[in-house]
Amino acid sequence: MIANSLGIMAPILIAALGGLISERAGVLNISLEGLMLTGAFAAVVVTAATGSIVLGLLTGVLAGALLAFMFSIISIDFGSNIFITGLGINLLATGGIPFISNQMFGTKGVLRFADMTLLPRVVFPFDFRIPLLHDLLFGHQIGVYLGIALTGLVWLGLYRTSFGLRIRSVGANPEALRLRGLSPERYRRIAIILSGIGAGLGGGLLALRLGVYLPNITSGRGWIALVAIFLGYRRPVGVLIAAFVFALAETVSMAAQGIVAVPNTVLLSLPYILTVIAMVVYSAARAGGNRRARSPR
Amino acid sequence: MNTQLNEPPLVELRNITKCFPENEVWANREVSLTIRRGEIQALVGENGAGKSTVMHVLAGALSPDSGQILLGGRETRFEHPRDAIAAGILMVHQHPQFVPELRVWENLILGIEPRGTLGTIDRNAAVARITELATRYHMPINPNHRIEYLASSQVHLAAILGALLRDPQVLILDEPTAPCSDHEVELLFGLLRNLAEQGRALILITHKLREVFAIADRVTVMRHGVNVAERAISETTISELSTLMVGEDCQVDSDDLRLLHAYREPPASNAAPDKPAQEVREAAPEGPPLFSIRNVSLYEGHLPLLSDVSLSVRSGTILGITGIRENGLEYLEDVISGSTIPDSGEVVIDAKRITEFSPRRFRRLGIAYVPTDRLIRGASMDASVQENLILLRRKGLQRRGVFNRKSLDGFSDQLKERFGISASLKQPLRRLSGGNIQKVILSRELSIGARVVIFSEPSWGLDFRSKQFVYREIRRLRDAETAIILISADIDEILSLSDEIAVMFRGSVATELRGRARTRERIAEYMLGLEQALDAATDEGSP
Repeated sequence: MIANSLGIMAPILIAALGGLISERAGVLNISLEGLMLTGAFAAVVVTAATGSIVLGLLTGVLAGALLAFMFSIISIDFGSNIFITGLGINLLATGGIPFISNQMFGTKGVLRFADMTLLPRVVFPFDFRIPLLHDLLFGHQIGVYLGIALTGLVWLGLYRTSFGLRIRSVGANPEALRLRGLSPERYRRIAIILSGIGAGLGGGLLALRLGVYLPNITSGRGWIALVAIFLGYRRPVGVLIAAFVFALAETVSMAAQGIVAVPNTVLLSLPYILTVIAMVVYSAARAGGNRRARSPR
Repeated sequence: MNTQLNEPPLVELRNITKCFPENEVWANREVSLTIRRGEIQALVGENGAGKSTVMHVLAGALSPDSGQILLGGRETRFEHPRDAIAAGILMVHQHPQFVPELRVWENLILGIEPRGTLGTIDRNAAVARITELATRYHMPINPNHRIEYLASSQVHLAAILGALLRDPQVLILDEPTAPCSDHEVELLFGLLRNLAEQGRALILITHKLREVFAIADRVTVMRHGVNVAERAISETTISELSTLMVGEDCQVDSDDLRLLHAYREPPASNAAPDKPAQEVREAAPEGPPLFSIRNVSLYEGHLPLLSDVSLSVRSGTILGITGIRENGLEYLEDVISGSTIPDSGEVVIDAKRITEFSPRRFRRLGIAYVPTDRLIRGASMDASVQENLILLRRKGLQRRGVFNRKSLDGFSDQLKERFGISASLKQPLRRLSGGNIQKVILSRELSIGARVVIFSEPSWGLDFRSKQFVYREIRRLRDAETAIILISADIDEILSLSDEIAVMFRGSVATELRGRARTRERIAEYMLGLEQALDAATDEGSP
């Protein structure tokens, strides 16, 4: 069950890590869902065409990055509201992909290709036979290891490099950057593109795990990734834990089908219910504060 | 002073002009300044005089509408703070821009991070460098503390340290001593002298004249966006500077007021600024105060915004409260209008404690409020004139809970005519001139049958006629036995309207002046916090 959860966790985690960077830069990227969907589509199509998982994933990343770049132009250069822009990107992805799919393959529905290459399981040259630990560490698909490695990389980048310092600063006080001769827009743009890269990669891994592209294959995972950012206290390791908790909830709800006397629909909505509860708890914890002043100055 | 006159100045500003269209004011009009190596130059003036604006231009944070910046004699343009920083010009802002949750060292090296292995930040090098600088200049700053836990004086010192890390040739300090204790001021001044001796140019923006005499080599006075005087410190006096800062009656910008005085009152008393202003009521009406605040204090964290302020006003009198902005006027406005509940002390009307009451209940008790901030707090800009007028009234305008068109129009037309509002009732307020907006707010507030009216900066941005109208209305209310509180940073306005004057300095009442004690100069001295020096010199206790 743990192994299964880790597999479900990986795409959410990677998308959330990208989203974390842009959130820390002061741009809450609500288009993660749409970016993931785009990455998934691009990855499946290119993998099928070239037979190369690597090329497929890279294309997914590129597609996410390009769409995020568009997001940055609309929000930073044209000064549009980031939530409206994010919403627009989501709608563009959900409307645009069936259109392109229809043009290319004559269907708006499931894309299944013959001889599809699947994500390989990672085989280590060494192994040991401690039952529980073995299942935890070995035999996962590449995304799991990638996700954990990226968590470390994002942590290193955010907290140990000047780029990360600037990202964290621009989110907290862009004027502080400007007055030190740096460009807040530049760092925000890079952060948004990184969130596109994360979501594109996450989407690609999600689809290549199954080897097919289904309409709405992400089914809200982009939104769950968004919640994981906050639930993880906007820190890489926290995001890892939050993403795992969601994945575990999904695994449990799937495993419980037919065993527990609860309707499947209720069980399957467990991760989403968890999302709502998590968000409410998080907001309640953040609320409060100074109620003395009746009017802001 | 080690200024060599034959050396070209380090930086020269020529005819810098900057206008903020949204405020319709000239922030700077043809301001020229010369900055020399090794010199400490003070830039003084009241708030809004344009000191910070011209320094923001020099620091590349604002682009001027016209004018030149010359670096070592060569013309240059600063499009972004980075251009000024590259030229060695750094500004420590009045409110330093930091990331509160980050540590001091992280904030200070932002933009100039030392890199170690793998391109990561070399934290040890950064901390060592900051510690070394802090030790050299005796600054009690721990680089590992988070900015959010620092006292505001330490934040300022940290900001100066951050500027020094970038080895500036010109260092601009905007009100650096505001949050400092006397000890910290000494420390800072020692640092400034040290930096000047190293050949750096320093510019100190301030309105504390004592500090100017303590530290500066040269002083430039600004008023209403214009550079009005420049003096070597040895060739001027505190009283000359304070007169230059506050301005005299014969200055261009008080023309409107002089006209107004001429219209309302015999002009005689206006000629000499040191005489008490007109309409002095030597014997203020006696009786219990109608509205008062007692021992009011307000804090932001540990920083006192208001400390132990007690003031009261009787029916039929005008209490003027003045001071330089950021000495507590705005917080006092909040407390007496019921917008903010003070941390201690009380607000009282008719001997009844109303400290915790909402602004709505303040109005029900007959306390009307004409705020400084007309556009957000004072009125709804997208609503129509009529909607704004009837905000506080329902009685007599409704029939079975629904507004009655006829009563509404009757009521609004009546107000419109009485206050001379020249706009259609259906027009959104946003389209109106400043004067008309103020009239709408005024008529709405007075429609509650006020016993106390709080005016804050009632004439800001108004033209001559509207000002005249507002002043007439204030006097009429006073004559109708209303208690008036007039908060204004405009000394002329305060002098010509108030019966009693309270001067605020650093969140406390510096003095209360009545009768003949109310002279422009005394007010100015208390506003600027010179009272101790003055009281000691003349041995004349404040009333």
